[in-house]
Amino acid sequence: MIIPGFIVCIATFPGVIVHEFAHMLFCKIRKVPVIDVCFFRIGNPAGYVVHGQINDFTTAFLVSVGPFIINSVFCFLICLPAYTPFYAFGIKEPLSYFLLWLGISIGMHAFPSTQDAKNLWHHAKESAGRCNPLAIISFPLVILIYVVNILTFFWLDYLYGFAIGIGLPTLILSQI
Amino acid sequence: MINTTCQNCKRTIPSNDTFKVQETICCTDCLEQVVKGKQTGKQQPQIERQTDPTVCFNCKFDNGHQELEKIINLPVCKKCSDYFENRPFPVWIKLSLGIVIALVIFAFVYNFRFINSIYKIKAADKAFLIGDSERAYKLQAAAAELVPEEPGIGLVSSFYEGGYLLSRENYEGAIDIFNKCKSLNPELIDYFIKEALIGKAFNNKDYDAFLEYAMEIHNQYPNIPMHMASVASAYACKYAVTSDNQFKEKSLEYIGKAVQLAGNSEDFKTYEQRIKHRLHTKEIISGKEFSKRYPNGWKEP
Repeated sequence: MIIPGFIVCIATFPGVIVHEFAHMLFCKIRKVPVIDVCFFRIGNPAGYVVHGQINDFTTAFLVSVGPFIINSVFCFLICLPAYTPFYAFGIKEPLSYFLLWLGISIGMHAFPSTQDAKNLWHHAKESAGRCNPLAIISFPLVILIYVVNILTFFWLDYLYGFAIGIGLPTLILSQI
Repeated sequence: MINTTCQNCKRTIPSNDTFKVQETICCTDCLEQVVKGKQTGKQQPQIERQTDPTVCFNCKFDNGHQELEKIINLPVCKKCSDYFENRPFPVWIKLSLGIVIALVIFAFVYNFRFINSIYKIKAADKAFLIGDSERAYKLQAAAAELVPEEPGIGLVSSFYEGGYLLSRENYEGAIDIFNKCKSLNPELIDYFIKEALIGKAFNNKDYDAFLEYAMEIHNQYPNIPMHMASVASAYACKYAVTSDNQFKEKSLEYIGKAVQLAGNSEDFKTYEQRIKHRLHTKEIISGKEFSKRYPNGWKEP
């Protein structure tokens, strides 16, 4: 069964909001002007941040990869306490269900978009030409972002949400 | 503000209201006509909206004839530029973030008892495996207290407590506790109840009952040397009180089989010595008393 992307986006809207929040947060941290921002809308893209020119690779890297960091951390921190009672004792509480939905939704939107990858690729090429080591190191990551974006067709982004929200807590709890 | 002349109708209008259609500047009214004129076949000509570098694209502030600074090629006044650089997060975002953080903290605090309980259960399992049943049951009981909604933890706690009481030779107490947690694993708990019944029968000098339970366990697990030795021990007790040689022979028969299976186990050797001591002296003493009297073991003279 094929579920239209916009329905999944609506069902996981907190992830879109946090994704755009992370972009904006890193823009603010790196003093990049934010011209326009949409945290969520029904459409494509579901959210966006229009920011000013970025002149250095580190900033471009942080602004592009920011959602991956923030969404992943939020997803894990929200899911871990919510998943514990269910994992260990099969206890199902409404708050746990709510937090798991919230956490996994956020994790599902962790991956940088194709546009983020394009921006990063552009900066990586320029900076690598100036022998910026971070840019050179980041090339495989940029390629990975592209590959992952292709694999989102196979719901890899959503699987990632489950991996961080359920898989990682399971792994940690089994090691206690 | 900069004005531009429409190359089609020759009107002078603000630059912001003009378009560039393949090098031709025109006003909004002429746009359609100019586009049609430039169209070749199905291909649309490129249309660009002209921007006035002296008018802020955001608030339309007019800076006279002085050009404004640009952000991504758009003219921006100082006020808007400052706003873009320090754009605040919307209140609802701040509020939502606060609620989510509060929820996460609450969930961590509220659910910490589960994490603590898992930790205690795992420590209890480890303690039980190394034979420290007292620590095992105390840890498991603490874990059960943390998660009262999960009765299974309490049952395991009772099981460990039963094991602890059994190790302390409190057989009555062990039987009571084991009966309470039978649903946990009926076969296993039954085994431990029988072990406790053996201890109780031994203390009550009811050697027939001792033999009966020892035999039941041996029949259930026929290849375990300690269970064979337990039967041998029961027969040795019966020999000690009756002096009937058939019990002695039975005891020696079982102890012989058990020795073959046990190998060099130290625990088993002590038990074997105690049974042989019983057969030799016809004196029935507990394991504790035996260890006290013969700290370096006993050998048949």
